[in-house]
Amino acid sequence: MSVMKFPLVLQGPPIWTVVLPLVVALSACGAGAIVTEGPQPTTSPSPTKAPVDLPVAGDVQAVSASHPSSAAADAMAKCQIGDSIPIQSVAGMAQIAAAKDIARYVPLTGREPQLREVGPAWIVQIRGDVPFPLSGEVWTDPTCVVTPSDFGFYGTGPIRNTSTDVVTTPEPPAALPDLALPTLAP
Amino acid sequence: MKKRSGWALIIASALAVGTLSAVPATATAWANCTGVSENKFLGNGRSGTGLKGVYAEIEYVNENLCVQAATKVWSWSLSWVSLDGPQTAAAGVNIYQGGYAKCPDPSVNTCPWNNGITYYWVFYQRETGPCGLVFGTPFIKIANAATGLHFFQISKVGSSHNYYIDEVFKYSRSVSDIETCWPGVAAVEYQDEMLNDGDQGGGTVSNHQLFGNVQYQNASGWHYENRTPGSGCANSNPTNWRCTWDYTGHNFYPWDRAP
Repeated sequence: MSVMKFPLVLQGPPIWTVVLPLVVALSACGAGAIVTEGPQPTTSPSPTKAPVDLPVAGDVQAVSASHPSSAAADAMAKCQIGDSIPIQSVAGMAQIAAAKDIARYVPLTGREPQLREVGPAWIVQIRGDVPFPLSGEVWTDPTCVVTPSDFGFYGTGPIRNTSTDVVTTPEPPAALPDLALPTLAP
Repeated sequence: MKKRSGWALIIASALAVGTLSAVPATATAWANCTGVSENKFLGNGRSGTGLKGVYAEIEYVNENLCVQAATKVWSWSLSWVSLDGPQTAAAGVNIYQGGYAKCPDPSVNTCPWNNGITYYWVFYQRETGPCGLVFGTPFIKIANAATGLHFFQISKVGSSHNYYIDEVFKYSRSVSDIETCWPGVAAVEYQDEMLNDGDQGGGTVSNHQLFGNVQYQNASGWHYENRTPGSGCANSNPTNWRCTWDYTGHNFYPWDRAP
């Protein structure tokens, strides 16, 4: 459903009594609001991007693209690097010592639960489009974060709804990142 | 835990065995992909307050995917259950889902290909909101799927929402992921999902796929769906896909155009 998670076409009158409330409820849930806005430009720059010349923290190490450590390889696998995401799309990657510092590298709002985790975190910054067909979207320049208890992608760049072509830009971060991740080593 | 009647299971298993014997061995001669792909559904759902669990016994089908032309279009065939949070205008969706996946080769890149082998998967996503930016797991492979009938369940157990396949724990999200970040469960679903009208949905004309003993959980426990016998399912593509509830009102059967 892109955003709509239920079929739009109903087969047979009896099911209406059950499905129609679902369709109505979900039509009112904001998916409809997006559709009525119509397509928006897809070239709008994200307002949340940090300057490109940030310093790389001295205590993080570059990951070898050809010979990653087992921990780095595990993080890559969880982020589907080399599977559905080509390794050439990795703009930066490193393990940082404390998950609470993720927002120093990634433009987050500060409300993300992973920021409250204790322990290290892997951050993998992607450059390019990553399809998310389950939500009917394409995410541009997302960031994958792997912590001891969770892993997944944050929508740190524009997100395009493939049904409506509406592009959503991320909420501005609480504070702009002040550190950069190293690019992959050979 | 969920209810599961012995007689129903026996009947369902027998139906599953009968169906599997007739599933096409290859994916040749299936429909061509059509020009536009988007999320399409063949199944059922339920909205309401207090929902916290979902369960279905879903029959494995080695689904056919649409035949691609030079210009690739999105394609897949999934069968799944889900908990859904409220949906808003924000990017992403609030959903926690898992089931079977048949995925196209990497040139299409909709979900991990797994060499064309159907597999069990799970996925969680939340919109931008109380827990910050929109966040989604990858499309997570659990294991290669086995033929037959398999039980998929997502339910709240203690301080987490767990995902079980055949009553074995496979994955978990915290209660706060569901009750704070979404916030809360607004609906459950039992669905086949395709991305292209040419993708196979459900079983075949002669051997329908089974979604059996379909149940949802709320504050008072597990409840069978109790739909009108013979009634249809919700369907994005009624030209090629069909689905009806059986006489019990808690089993339904999706199927596709051929053979």
